[in-house]
Amino acid sequence: MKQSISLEVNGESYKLEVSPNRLLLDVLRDDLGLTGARRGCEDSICGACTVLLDCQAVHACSVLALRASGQRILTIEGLAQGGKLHPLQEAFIQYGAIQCGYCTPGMILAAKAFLGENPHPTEHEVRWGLIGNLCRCTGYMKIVEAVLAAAERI
Amino acid sequence: MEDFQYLRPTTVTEAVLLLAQHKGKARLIAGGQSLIPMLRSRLVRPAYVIGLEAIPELKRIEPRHGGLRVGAMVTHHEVLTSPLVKERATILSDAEILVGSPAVRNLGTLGGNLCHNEVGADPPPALLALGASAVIASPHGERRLPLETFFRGFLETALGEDEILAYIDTSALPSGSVWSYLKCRQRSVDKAIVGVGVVLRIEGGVCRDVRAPVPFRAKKAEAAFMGERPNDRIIEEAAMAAVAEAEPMSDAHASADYRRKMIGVFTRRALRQALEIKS
Repeated sequence: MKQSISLEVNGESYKLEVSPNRLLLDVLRDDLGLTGARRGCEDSICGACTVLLDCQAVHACSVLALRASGQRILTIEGLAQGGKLHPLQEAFIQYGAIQCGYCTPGMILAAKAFLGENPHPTEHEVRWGLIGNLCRCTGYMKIVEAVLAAAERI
Repeated sequence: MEDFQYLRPTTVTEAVLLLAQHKGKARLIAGGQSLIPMLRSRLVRPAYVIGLEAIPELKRIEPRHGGLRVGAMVTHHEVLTSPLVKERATILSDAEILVGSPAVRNLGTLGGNLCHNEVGADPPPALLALGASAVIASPHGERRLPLETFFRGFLETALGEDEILAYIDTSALPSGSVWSYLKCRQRSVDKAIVGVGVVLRIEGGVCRDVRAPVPFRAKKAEAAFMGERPNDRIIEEAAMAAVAEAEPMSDAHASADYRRKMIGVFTRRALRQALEIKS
């Protein structure tokens, strides 16, 4: 039996009817067309589906959509403001922290949540903070540099 | 994932009545970090999923007789950032920082972690070393169970079909206590191949714990320490006793033999680390 939920995604309100077994990731991608949250391991390991739920990083593959009802969700599509990229997005471009791009939305959102709690991190803290996001291209060096650079600009 | 009906009680009493009403056909969901993968792989196929997120009494951390009462719905992140836990159950904070990743800790709860009894979970050894107990609610009232007897077989606990783990109680550590939690793993987000928690009181009393498939207190290893002055020989004896007591399993991550070997290594390291914290 479907249930009514209301989601606030990237500042916009949505009223949806969902089956209780639908995952937040599926609702974002299939119902709202927001494909920035990637489908990766579907097992809370790779972090490609990371979105922010009330400012906290979560794996959208491991959250029931109805559980997110009434909460504020930020996906990568909502990060740039007024056509201007977020400092993290700019730093990822500047430092070449993007290669295939599959991990990038999750990586940037995890970094945003991390910097929210830890605005002046050391390199070690950045690595620890991004522990739940796998990248198979960059070897992490450029990602860590980009996050450290963005921390200076936020 | 198969379809189910989602129920959202607002009190523990309501939750246990729902469980009793749908006996055998319902599963509780806390943060979902263990249950959702199990639902997806159809390891469990409940007709009803009972969400505990709307029960405020399960979300508190409170001081209790010098120790703590932690509600089953407190998230790993909340445990980790609680000054009260840091002060009164530091080894639990030390274990919590090694649970999954920030995203898992933001949703996953202490109660959900304990109730699934997944191999390689970090909080159980820390809580066993603290001598914690489980407060369990059912339609017939509450009962208290030492955590030692809570963990049964693979993915099994002592919880009955109409029971809910409501709180985890820890008692105060006596002065002179030292502790350490260490984890053997491959990737940083993995569950433990071996997790070792030790708490020792240097006045001669010693309690410690090692666990694999079922978390357990390594009582023979404790006995090796009791009444002795800690030294390399005693540490070695305790580590070997822990190896002999453990019955680890083989799986895709590590063989039982490797795990047994690592239990020795990590018990030795945890004891050394705990003893150095004091000096």
